[in-house]
Amino acid sequence: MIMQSLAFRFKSVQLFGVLLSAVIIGFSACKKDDPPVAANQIQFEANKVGFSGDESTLEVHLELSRAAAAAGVLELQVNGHGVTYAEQYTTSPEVENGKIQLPFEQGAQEVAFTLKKTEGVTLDGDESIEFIVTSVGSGFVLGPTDSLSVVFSAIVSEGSTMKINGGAGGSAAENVVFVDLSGNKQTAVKRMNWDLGFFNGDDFRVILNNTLPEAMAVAIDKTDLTKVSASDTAGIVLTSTYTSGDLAKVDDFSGDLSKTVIRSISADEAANKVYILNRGEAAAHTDGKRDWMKIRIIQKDGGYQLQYAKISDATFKTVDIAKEQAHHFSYVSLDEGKKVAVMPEKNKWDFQWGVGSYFTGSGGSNIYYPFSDLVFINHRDGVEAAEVLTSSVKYDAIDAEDLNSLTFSGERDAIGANWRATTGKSIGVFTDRFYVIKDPAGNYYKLRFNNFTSEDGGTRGYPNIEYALIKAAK
Amino acid sequence: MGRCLFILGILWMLMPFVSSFGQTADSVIALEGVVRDSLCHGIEGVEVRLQTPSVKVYTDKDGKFAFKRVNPGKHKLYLSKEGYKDLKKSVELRIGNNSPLSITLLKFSSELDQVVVTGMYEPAGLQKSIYRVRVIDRASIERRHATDILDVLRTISGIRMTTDQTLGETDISLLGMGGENIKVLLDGVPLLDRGATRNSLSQIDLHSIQRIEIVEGPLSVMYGADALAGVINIITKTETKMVSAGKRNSLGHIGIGLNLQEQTVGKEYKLLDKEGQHNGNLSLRWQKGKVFADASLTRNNFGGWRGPAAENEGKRGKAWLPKDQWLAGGRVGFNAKKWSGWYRYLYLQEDIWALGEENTNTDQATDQEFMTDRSAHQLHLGWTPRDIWRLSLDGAYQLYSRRTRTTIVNTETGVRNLVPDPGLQEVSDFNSGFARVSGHHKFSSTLEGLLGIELTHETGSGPRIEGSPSIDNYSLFLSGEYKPAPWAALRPGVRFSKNSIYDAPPVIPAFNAKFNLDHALSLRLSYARGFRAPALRELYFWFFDANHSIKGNENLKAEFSHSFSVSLAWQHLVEQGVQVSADLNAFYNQFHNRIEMALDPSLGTNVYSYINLAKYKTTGLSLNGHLQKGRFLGSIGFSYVGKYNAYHDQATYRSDRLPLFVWSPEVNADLSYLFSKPQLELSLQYKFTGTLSRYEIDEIDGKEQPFLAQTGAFHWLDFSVSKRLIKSLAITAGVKNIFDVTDLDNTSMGGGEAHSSGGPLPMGYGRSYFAGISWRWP
Repeated sequence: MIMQSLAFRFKSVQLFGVLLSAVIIGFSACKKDDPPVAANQIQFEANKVGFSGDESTLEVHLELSRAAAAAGVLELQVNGHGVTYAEQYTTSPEVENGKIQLPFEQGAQEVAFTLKKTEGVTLDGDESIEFIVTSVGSGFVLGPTDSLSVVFSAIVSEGSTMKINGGAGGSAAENVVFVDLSGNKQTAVKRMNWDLGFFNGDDFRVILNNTLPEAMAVAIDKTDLTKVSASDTAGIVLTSTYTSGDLAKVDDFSGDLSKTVIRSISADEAANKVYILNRGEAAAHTDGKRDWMKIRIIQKDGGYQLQYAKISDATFKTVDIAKEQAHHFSYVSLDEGKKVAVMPEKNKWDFQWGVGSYFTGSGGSNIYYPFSDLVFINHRDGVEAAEVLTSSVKYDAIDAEDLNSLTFSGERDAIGANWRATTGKSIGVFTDRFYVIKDPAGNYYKLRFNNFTSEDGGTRGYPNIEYALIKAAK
Repeated sequence: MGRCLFILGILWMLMPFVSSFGQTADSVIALEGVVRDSLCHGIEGVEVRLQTPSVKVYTDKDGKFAFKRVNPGKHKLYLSKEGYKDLKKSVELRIGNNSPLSITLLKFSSELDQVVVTGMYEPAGLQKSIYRVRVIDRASIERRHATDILDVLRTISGIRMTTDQTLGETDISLLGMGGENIKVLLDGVPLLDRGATRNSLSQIDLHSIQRIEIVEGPLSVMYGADALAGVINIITKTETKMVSAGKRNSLGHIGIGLNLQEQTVGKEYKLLDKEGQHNGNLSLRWQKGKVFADASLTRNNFGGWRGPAAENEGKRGKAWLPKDQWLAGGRVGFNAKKWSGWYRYLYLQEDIWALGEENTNTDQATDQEFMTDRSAHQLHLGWTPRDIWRLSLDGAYQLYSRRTRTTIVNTETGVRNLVPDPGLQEVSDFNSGFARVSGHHKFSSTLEGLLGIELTHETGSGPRIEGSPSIDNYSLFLSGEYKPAPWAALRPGVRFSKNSIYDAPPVIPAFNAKFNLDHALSLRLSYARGFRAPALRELYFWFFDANHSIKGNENLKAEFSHSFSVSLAWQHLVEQGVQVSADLNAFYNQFHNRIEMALDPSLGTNVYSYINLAKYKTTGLSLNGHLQKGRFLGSIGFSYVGKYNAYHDQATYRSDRLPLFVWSPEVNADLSYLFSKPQLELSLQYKFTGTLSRYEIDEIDGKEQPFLAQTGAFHWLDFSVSKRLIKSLAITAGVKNIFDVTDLDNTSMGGGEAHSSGGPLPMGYGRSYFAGISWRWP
């Protein structure tokens, strides 16, 4: 009976239902469409780069404004001025019919090729090669820096923008990047590629890889690696405990070589103790799959000998490291068991960017705390930096006359993490400040960080910087 | 209230037809009387219906009524008016003089005589409930002029709120337990939530709500998991009353309601859009015979608030995120003698904007929009084949989808672009299916029982969730009530559960008892075993980046509790219109297998996971009083809740100065007075929330030690004036947050919220003013 009466009134219900569904459909229809995705722009990092007499290869970078949504091919036209392909220089990939084809993969943030001087060729320095982007392929647009002039001498850049190539990993970007403003150059090195740095100066000092969180070491009272076993590591903690005690297990953050974890390497071989080393991880709190190592370093032939093995190994391997003059440090990878290239030559870089061991205040004391996006200036080569607030002078307005009023600091962390906020309501670069950098040659550059994370319109791991020459060295 | 008004209105329309029936008898006399309230004031507009012949009249402004021509003999009079108890009165009329009748109508109190359903076998009076049920009725909701349920609960004792300003979401806690321990029901069906926070409370249309019932302590037997702290059951308006006999209207009966409210947010306001709060609701009701339908459309627009600091002036972003909600819903149903049922569809579209600051170096700003779509299909069927049998079925299917849309806008050109990074365009989807069938049988006047089964199916996917897990749960529950004496009722209950993923406690017992010590005093005792199911997030979380290494744990067990409570209620009905009631309550909860985040060495160094580890306790007491005297209505309450201090029992930190419990007091008051002549109602809600303390560990003087972290106390006061201009139209105005509460002082590191890193805790957006209008037709 109920069903009947229901059917009887179905029409009214139906009318009501129609009204209701009209409202609901109306709702679904008023959903806002997404705005379009901005075009992905490809361009050279800078319009001019120097390839000086003491260099044999040069890596040239083109940057994408974000990760490539699909694989593609770039085409460059190559015009030599005073040099001819295959005679004075070659490229990889090779030039064919005056053009280079540069394939790139999906997800690529940059495209690079290598320029090589032919061995034995001498150049005057006024020669150059011009690269012009002729095609970027579908789905990309060409940016304003569409050509590059490579001159065969050192240059003093007037200024440029640069996307620092931190690589994958976001806030734990895989690379540490050394930036040379005057040369419009950046050198990206995978942080996991090395473990220890050996000082090439007069002292015998060894540093840990301070770009890896929790790369920590502690000395044990033994001098023979073969007599060290797992039992010697009992009670040793080589991860961050968020207490001030961690600071004793890492090198001094200011770069003071008299305060390294590993004591000065003694000429008296027997005085050099074994250290237990946590090689660190790309990011804090990752899975910790890398085994701890036991290491011992002694002096040998005016240089160093590194002895190393896994904790429970009965034997150990060695690497001899002779001192050389071009670099401040020689670096060794325990995975490869040999020297690896990390830091560029002396005087050829201004600051490094990347993850680094650092500290923060907690409960009235300082505790060990790894930072992302740390900027350390090249303090060993006399680089200095001054922070300028835009309230006193604007980035666009600053000139050589303002330099006298600035306070420069030669501290390694003069810039540090002061240029950006990672917490709070205004995550992003601080737009109220920029920096003036005095480079090793004495050129003054103004430098500002334009973005570094999604909140300020950037991409974590690929900060965009902008710089310009204020005053050239005499 | 609206429904009653509506029915009354229809009756009023039909009156001319009804009263035109002529009288036939020759020897007729007059029947006169006066209807008064308990203060001896005449009541105007009371419907007085004579059974034979079917005639009705309404009282005049002095409460007088008269039937001119009535046959002598026995008659039955039915009296009814909105807000008063219906009355049936037998009179015997003799030929000759009959002195006018004097009839007293009792006003419906807001607390006494409430009908409640939560945890009940069938709807019954509040006093009969074996649980202590707290009711926030429609009148009380309306007095608060709230814009969402959270706004209503703000001045309710035992409830506190925390707002995550990064997400623009607010969570509540009940008796010291966070949202994951509170079960939120909509007409008895659990509401779907994305995570641990009970954000769904802000996503229900307040205008559709008849009342909110709160039961403290786990109702696990009836409602299953996640009710460790208690149940908040939101009861919507339903057409339950049958329209009484009258002339049939071929179109059925139609009612329309319209509500508009404009409110400032602190000092920020612009008419109708952007700054300030703007709420509008349109609802339609229709009823014809046994069939009814309703529909409503509501918009809640919150312009956000910049924050207390002057330096926020001119910034794009706001401390309290702007929010825009559209809610639509419709229901069709029928009410017959043995059958009743309805189907309802609810839809919500919510946008919350987190505007980023302009990067002046690049003239760009990155904006995030949290876009939520949720819909629910809900079905209810009731069948009462005989008085002693009652069967009911509730079913629901809920869909929840939340998307984070990240765009970059060029502040110079205004061009907006989507950021294609998938990590910035996250989508979370959660679905849940629910069915509950229960049967209730009265074996005798002293024994009744309930048997039910409940099935739930939940799926979820989204960022930081590993895979697309689904969870099924099957439960059987059994409950019986035995009355060994007229003054005593005992109700044991048990629930059996089987879960497809985690170890559900197989048997959940509960025992409740109620003793009427005398006609004014009753004592309720309860023991229940509660449990909380591990959330999807805790089972399948996956979050690894530079700052986080957290993995869910599929092997989690449910948390469970032993909960004890005792409640003594006293009520006194003074004949001369004064009603007084009071209750004293105490509880003690002991939680086991609490799910906490901890380092799990088996997953690698420094990887966190969820494990069943901690114990926890809460205890407390509350005292409430309620007074209704004439047109004055007042409730006051005091509560004192203690939360367990985990460091008390840790050997490392044990010391004399560490207490077992950390206490926090609350005082609240809800007062209103109605001036009958200008039809003006003044209403005031107040709540004092005491300092919230907890022990946290920090390095002090180079040593790890507990210190007492505190979140500041605050007073919250709302005041409003409401005036009925004509019967269908009322206007209101008022002030909320008169003490201008904004951020609370806070020395806690965590503040209980994931994205709050210590520092001031946001509680309010300052003193706000509002005005509203409400129109109901007929």
